[in-house]
Amino acid sequence: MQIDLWGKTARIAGAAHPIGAALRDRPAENGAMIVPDGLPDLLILSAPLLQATGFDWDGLADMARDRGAAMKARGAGRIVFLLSACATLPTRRRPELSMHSAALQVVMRTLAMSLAPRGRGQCDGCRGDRH
Amino acid sequence: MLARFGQIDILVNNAGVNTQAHRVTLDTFPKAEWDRIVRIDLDGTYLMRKAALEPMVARGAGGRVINIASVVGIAAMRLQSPFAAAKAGIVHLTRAMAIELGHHGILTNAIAPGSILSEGTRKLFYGKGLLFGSRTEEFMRHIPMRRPGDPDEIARAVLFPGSPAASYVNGQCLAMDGGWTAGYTI
Repeated sequence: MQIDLWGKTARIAGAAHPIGAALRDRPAENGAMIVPDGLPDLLILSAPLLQATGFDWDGLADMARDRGAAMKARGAGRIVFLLSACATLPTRRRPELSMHSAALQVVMRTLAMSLAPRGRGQCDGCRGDRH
Repeated sequence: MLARFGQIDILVNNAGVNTQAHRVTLDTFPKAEWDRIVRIDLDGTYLMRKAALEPMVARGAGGRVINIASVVGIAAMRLQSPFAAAKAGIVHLTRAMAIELGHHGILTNAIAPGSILSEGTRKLFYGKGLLFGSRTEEFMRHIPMRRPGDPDEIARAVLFPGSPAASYVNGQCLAMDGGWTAGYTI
């Protein structure tokens, strides 16, 4: 699927795993420029998909809040969380992963509510306060 | 349709109505209006099985089904109980269809539009002396983006579950609602 990201910057941060690797070149293939740091137009936050231990979950949530606040101040931005499906359907064998993933999903939802009103967006479809 | 094109690749179950004349609680909700809404909104999707699903299964080449639900099927609203019930039915019917049809390569997903500015809702939200009137601004406070969506924004979202990009997406309901159902905003 071709999605027009021409002229946008994208950054992928967080856990490394095969899906993250498969994702690495996608924004560039769709026209975006990958940036290693700074405040991009599109921030993809990758959470672990198998092992919960040894990962800085709070750090990922902090980055979402911090970068989200900066995007809000700028007036535009997108944050996408890459989470395990156990965020919505907990898995018996992975209680910690399920808990952390579910918590990050709630972070995503609360950010959606608090950051959206001022988001004037980057494309025709995401103008914020129009009415 | 089949006679003309020979095949159906994507079925969009879009037909849907809500009540405007009977914004009342369930205890007094007229039976005829309940039946009209549930028949179109819920039964309508079921009734497409002969016309579209049977040929899709028989052809053996897979396919996509996109059911148009509503955020009211996710988070209920008052004074429109048949619409809320029928749309919740669509969300779950989508999952049932995904489980039943997945092994045929037929992927079923739902789109749940939130508050969308169509000709009908434009009068509802911004018309003088109509249902919302001056309460429109208050109503929009429930939507994190503080505005209704455009029909075009929904149309683009419907393309996704029909596209090659969604080749492993099955049984999901994607809310296009400006964040309405993300949580309790107020």
